Amino acid sequence: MSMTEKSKIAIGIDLGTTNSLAAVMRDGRPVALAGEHGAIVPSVISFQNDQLLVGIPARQAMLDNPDHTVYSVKRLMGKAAADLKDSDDRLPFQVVADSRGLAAVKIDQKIISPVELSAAILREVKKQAEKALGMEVERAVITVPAYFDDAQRQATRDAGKIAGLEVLRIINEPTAASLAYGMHQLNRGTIVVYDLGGGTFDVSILRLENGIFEVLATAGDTRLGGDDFDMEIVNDIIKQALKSGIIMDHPSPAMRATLKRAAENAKIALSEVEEMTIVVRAGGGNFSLTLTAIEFENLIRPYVERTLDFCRRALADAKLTIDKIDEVILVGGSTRIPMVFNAVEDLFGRPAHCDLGPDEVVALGAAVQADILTGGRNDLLLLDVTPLSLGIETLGGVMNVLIQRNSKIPAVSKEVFTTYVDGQTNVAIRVYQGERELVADNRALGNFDLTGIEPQRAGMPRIEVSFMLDADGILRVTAHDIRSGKQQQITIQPSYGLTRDEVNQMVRESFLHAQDDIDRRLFIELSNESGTVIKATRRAFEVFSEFKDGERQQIEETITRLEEALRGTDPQAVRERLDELNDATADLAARMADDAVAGALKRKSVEEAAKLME
Amino acid sequence: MPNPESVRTALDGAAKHLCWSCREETGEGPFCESCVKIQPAELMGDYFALFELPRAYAVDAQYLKNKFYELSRKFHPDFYGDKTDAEKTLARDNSAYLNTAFRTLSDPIKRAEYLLVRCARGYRVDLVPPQGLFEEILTAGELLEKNSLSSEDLTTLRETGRVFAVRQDERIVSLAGLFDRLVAGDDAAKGEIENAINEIKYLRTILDRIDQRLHKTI
Repeated sequence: MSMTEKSKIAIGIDLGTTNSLAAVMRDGRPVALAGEHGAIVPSVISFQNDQLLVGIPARQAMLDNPDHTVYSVKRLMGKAAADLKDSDDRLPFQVVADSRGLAAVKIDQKIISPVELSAAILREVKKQAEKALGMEVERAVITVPAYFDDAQRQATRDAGKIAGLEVLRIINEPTAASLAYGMHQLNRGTIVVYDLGGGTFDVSILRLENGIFEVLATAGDTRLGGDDFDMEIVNDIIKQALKSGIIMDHPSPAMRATLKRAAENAKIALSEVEEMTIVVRAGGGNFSLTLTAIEFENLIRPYVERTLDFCRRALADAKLTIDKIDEVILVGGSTRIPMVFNAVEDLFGRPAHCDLGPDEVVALGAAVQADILTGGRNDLLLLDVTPLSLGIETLGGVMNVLIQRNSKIPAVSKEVFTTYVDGQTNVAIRVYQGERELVADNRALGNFDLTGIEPQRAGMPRIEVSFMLDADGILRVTAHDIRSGKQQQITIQPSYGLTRDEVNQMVRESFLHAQDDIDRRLFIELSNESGTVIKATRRAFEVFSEFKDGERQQIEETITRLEEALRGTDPQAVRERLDELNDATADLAARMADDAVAGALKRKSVEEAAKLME
Repeated sequence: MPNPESVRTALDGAAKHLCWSCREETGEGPFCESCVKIQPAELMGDYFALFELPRAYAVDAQYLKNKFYELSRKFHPDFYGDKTDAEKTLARDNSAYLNTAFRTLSDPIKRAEYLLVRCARGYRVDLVPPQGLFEEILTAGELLEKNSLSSEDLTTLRETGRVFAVRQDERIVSLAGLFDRLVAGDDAAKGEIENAINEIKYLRTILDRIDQRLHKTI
């Protein structure tokens, strides 16, 4: 297809934890696009033998085939498997660590990344939108929770690409919602958007004036939502059943799916009625339990309280008090729960808007932004912020913030650092995101080395580190030695994300490519990296003599174990042994920081090293 | 494609700027007068010049916000979706420069530091406790160290915070006059400005801690 034939249309997509939806601008108004099953595409994927079901049909398959049906994928996006330990029991399908430790889903023997699963949902949304529009759709704005970090945003962008979409922009869900309302009725004043969805919570405070939507502050939790409420009900059922002598402690996948569905139904019903009887088939008979609205509220109260704390923090960050708020907007299915909207209205002391429909409003706003970005209208402008602080590690593992949370994007920041060892020629630049004082408590985004610094006394070199955060929230870091003019630059590749190559490969290859292929390639990469590290370690033995008691022997044993793993075929085993070796030499490397050999000892893949040499 | 970066460097210090794209003189605004292409915002001058403000400490918050919105409409990358890569990069850099300028000018401490660097060569920062508040600082320090606060403690902390806030505001107001003196050539004002900045910084740090503590206890 040539450029001129390409469809110019751009849609807005709300890629939700529970449901997804597309919208488009039509005659100056955003409208939801209804496909063959209505506008909403449940974010559910089911694998039926060789057939892939997405949306309504997949949701229907959930009860019959729970261990082949995947939902709440958004909770896994951009996460390491270790981040998710607590939720392993919750999901009826298997969540595992892939070869790099990233969270993935295992269906039969296949390991599928959340990015691919999200891509499958996006592809379905795209297909339905095309059906509704009667034309091809290639460009989209996709929304993410405002509190998504760099890795999660990058993962969402990658999913769009794999689904065959040009992602014009990733925008924040509450901001999108404000755009939709701004189009309709509110066009001036300070507004709060309270967005409680299936899996995530966000609150944003905006100032609207003459078509400008200025985000003043945002706060939230990417793991707090309606799913948690369902889970509380499920736990309650299990507890009550135990009292009647029915043990459901480690329910089968089928049982878990049944319980989850029963909990969801009860939760929805309790928004309308005072009590609800839940009946679950268990232990050959039926177990029934009556849950009252008050009991339900007690179950979810701690979660609702937490959302209110986030509201207070956002207000403090925006330097505003409650009386300065003109309007409150509710977004997300969970704001239908009476206790939730009452709590929000009480906190802000005013009735909240939900007239545009909490399920559709985000997609509608994304459609407005798609229209702005494609030149459709230039009277509206969104000025957004970055939700989390960005910085680098300095002496003692301390987080040195370069870009503060709630800074407007695009954002730029520069700071000059120096060395702390005499004659030091390398500096490792480690980039983190988060609000904690120590980098160990924050999210590692990536790292690189600035090499070839002129050897000088500690504290003499002047190394300038620059951060550039673009309108998509994607970070580029540059380090340069002011004296020698040496410069290194990287676009941050999230440690918990996919590499460019991996994304491109997924775009090229079929959706469910065999894990074998990945394993094979990974094994080769890891072998190369292992070779480099072993060589560097042996070289360190030759040039360095100040070892601690037993240190050298311990390192040699780790090398032997790594070499054994290299004779096998399992990349996971090599990764573990290599990590062991890296850990064993970390202390040694630190002590040799001024030696060139140390550069190769540091955690760094051959690929990265090669890139830095370019 | 000419690289805006290199043109910018070449033009630094030149009285008149040539457009990176058409090589004609650009004029003073953010767009080239000949070809209407966006120009690097840094060429419009420092943060005060960008906002068309005199180099003075007192700024009108409403004016600042309106000017920020006006310039955002000129620079924001959202309006450069169908432009060349060079223009997209400029839009991003200009927006980032504008955002930093707005943040700096909106903040009483950052604005004072920025202006001081422009009016006087360098300045010294030593975070010493403000004079005459010794007792209040001691009290606040003790309360902030405590594991749990009684309702009496909370009242004391809140009141101490109010004393600090009042003093902070007084010092911020005093800066406008001090800077006027400095700009008029009174070098003695520099030391006083440094003291005021240090004091405001000290008070802000302690006020932040008090706010945090009061908030957590709610």
